[in-house]
Amino acid sequence: MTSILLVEDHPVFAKVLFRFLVERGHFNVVSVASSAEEALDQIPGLDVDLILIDVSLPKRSGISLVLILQEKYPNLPCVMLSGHLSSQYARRSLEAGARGYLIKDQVDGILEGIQHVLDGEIYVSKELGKY
Amino acid sequence: MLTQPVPVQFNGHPHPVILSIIPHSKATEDLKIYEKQALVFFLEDERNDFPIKTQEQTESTSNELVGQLENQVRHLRQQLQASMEEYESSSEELKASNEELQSINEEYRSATEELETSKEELQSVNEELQTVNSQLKSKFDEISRSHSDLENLMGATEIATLFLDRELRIRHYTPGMRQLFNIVPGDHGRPIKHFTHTLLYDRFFDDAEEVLRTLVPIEREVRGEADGWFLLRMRPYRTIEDRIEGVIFTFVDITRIKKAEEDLVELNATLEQRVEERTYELENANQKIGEARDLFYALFHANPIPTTLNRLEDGAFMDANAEFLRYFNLQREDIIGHPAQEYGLGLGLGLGAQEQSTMLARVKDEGTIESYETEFRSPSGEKRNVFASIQYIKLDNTDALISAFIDITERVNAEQQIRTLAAELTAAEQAERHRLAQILHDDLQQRMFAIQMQLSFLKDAYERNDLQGFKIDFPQLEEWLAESIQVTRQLSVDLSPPILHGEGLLEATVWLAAQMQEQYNLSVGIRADEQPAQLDEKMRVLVFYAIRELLFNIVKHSGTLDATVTFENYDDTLRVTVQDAGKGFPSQEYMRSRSMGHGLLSLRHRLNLLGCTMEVKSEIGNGTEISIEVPLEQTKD
Repeated sequence: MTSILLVEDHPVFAKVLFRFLVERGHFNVVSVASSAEEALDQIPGLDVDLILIDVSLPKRSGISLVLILQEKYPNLPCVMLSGHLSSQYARRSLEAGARGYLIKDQVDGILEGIQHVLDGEIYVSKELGKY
Repeated sequence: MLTQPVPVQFNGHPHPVILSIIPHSKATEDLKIYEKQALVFFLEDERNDFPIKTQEQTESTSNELVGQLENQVRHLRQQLQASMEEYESSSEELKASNEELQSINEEYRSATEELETSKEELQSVNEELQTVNSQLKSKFDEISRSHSDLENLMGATEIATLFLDRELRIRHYTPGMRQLFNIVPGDHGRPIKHFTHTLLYDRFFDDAEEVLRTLVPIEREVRGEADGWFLLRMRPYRTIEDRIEGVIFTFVDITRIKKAEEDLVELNATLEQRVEERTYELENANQKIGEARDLFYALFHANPIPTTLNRLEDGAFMDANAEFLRYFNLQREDIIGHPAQEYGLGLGLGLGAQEQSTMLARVKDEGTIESYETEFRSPSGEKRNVFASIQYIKLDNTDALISAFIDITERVNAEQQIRTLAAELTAAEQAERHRLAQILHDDLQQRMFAIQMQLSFLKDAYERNDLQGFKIDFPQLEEWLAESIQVTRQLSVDLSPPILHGEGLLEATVWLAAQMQEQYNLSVGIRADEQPAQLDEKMRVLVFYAIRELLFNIVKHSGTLDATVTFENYDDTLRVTVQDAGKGFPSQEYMRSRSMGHGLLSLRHRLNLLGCTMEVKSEIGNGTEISIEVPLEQTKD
C-alpha cells in the first residue's frame, strides 16, 4: 500500500482529505503536517512513497518545501495541491521539482493525478489547460 | 518713135492712143534706175473722129491716114521736144531738189543725232521718273497705311472726332460722331449748324467759333444722353504749313471716370464721416484708456496678490503694490528705481541666472509666461513656494513686465502630505486586500473544498443507500457550512461594521468594544458624561476606524488587555481619548520618526485632512493616552 505524507494547514480540509485518500484512494496516509517545518521534521522518521503538499502554507510556502525536499530526497515524488487555478503556480511548482499539480476542487482528479505520478509520469490537472 | 493711134478700150469705149517710145541714154550714178531702159508715153489722140471702118474702107483711106499720121508725128515730135525740154528742165529741178534733199538729209542726220541725244536724255529722265514714281508709290502706300493706322487708332480709342472747316462745314468725322450728331455719310461739306445733337450743351457752335477766332483750345465736360459724360476738346485744325483750316472736336467718353469721380466724392464724404466718427470714438477710447489706466493702477494697488511693475531693460521697480511691500516688508520709496536683483527678487523669483535669461527671452518673444511654479528663499531665508506669472506690457512707451505671484507654500506642503497619505492609503488598501484574500483563500476557500469533498462522501452513501454513513457525514457538512457562513458574516462586518450606519458614535463604540472582547479578549471601558455630539457619517466613520486602530494597537503593543475610550463634548469640538495603562513608548521620538511612528503618523494625517487633530502622550512604563479632537461646525449634517 502506498504511503503518503499530507502537508495541509487548514484543519477542516486536512481532515476530510485524509479520509478521502484513505477511503477512496486506499492509501496509507502516514501523517498530516500543518506546515513545511513540521513536514521536514517528520519525514526522517517516516517511510513515505509520496508527499502531497498544499501550495499555500504559513511561513514557508509549499513550493519552498519542494525545493528543500528535492535537495534532500531527490527520489521522493512531491505532488502539489492547490486552490489556485493558476498556470504560474503550476509552472513554478514543476520547476521546483514537483511531479504533479492538482486542483483541490477536482475531487476525482486528485486520485487520478497521484496514480499517474506513482506510475512515473508528470501530471498537471486538466483544469489548467495548456501548460 | 511714135506709133499709129491704137484703139484702146476705156470704160467699154474705144479711144485712139499713140505710143511714144524714147530710149533713155543718159544715166547718172544717182539715178541708176533709168539705165538701159526706155521711156514709153501713152498719148491719147485728141481727135474724136477716129473712124471705125471696114476692111474695104481701110484700104481706101490708108493713104489719107498716112498723111494724118505724119502730121501727128510732127505734132508729137514737137510735143516730145517740148516734153524733153520740160524733162531736162525737170531734171535740172530734180537735180536741184536732189541737192536740197541731200542737204535736208544731212540736216536730217544732224537732227537724228540730236534726237538720239534727246532720246538718251529722255531715257534718263524716264528712269528718274520711274524712280520718282516708285518712291511716290511707296510714299502713297505709306500714307495709305498711315491713314489705315489712323482710322484704326481712332476706332480703337473710341474717341469720337469731328473735323470742321473754317466755315464750320463737316470735313471729316469718325463713326462715333453719329451717336452724338445726326449725321450720315453723305453729309460731308454741310454746315454743322444744320445738325441737331444729343448733348446737353448749348454753346457748342459759339465755342467752335470762339476757337476759330481766338485759336485757343477749349475743353469742357459735357453731358450726353442716358447719363453719359464726355470730355469735349475743341482745338484749331492746324496744317503742317501752320495754316488754320478749321476746328477739330474730340469727344472722350468719361462716363465711367465721371461715375468713379462721383463714387469717389461719395466715398470721400463717407470717409470724412467715418473719420469724424473714428475721431469721436478715438476721443472716447482715449478717455476710456485714461479710465482704464486709472482702473489698472487702482486694481494694481488694491490687488491682494503681490504684484510689481518692472522695467524690462534693467528690472528696476517702476511700482509695487501694497501686498508685495507687505509680503517682503519693504517700503515703496526704498525700491522704486532700484533693480529687483538688489533685493534678490529678480525675474522669475528664485530662478538661477541661466533660467532667468531663458525666461526673459521667452517673455520678450511670446509676450507672456502664463503661470509657473517656482520656489525661492525670502529675504528672511525661508523657503517659499509661489505660483507666478509674468506679462509683458508697454506702459508710457516703456517696455515693462508686470509680475504677480501667489504664495502656495501651504498648498504645496498640503499636497505633499496628501501624496504621502495617498501612498499610505494605497499601501493600507493593498494590505487590507491581501488580508481579505488570505481570509478568502486560506480559510473560506478551504472550508468550501472540504464541503465539496464531504459532499462526495454523501453522494457515495446515497448511491450505496448507506443511510448510516449518510447520518454520520451529513451533520459534519452542516457544521462546516455554518462555520463558513460565520466566516463570511465576520468578513462582512470587518469590511463595514453595519452598526456604524445609522447609529451614533457611542453605540458603534459599544459594539466595537464587544467585538474586541469577543475576538481579542480586550476589555474596553467606555466613558461619556452625555451623548457625544452628532457627527456626519463621513466623520463618524473616520473617528470609529481611528478608535478601532488605536484599540488594535493596544492589543498588539501595549501588553495589557484593558483600554478606555472617553467622549467629551466642548463648545466647538468633540474630544475622543483612547488610553491604556500598558508599557507605553517614547511618543515624542516616535512621532518624529517616519519608520517608528508610521502607523500613528498616517492616522494623524488622515485625521488632519478632515480638520481633526491628534495628540499622542506616552512614556515607557506609564501607558498611552491618545486624544482626537473633532471640530463640530464642520461636521454637522
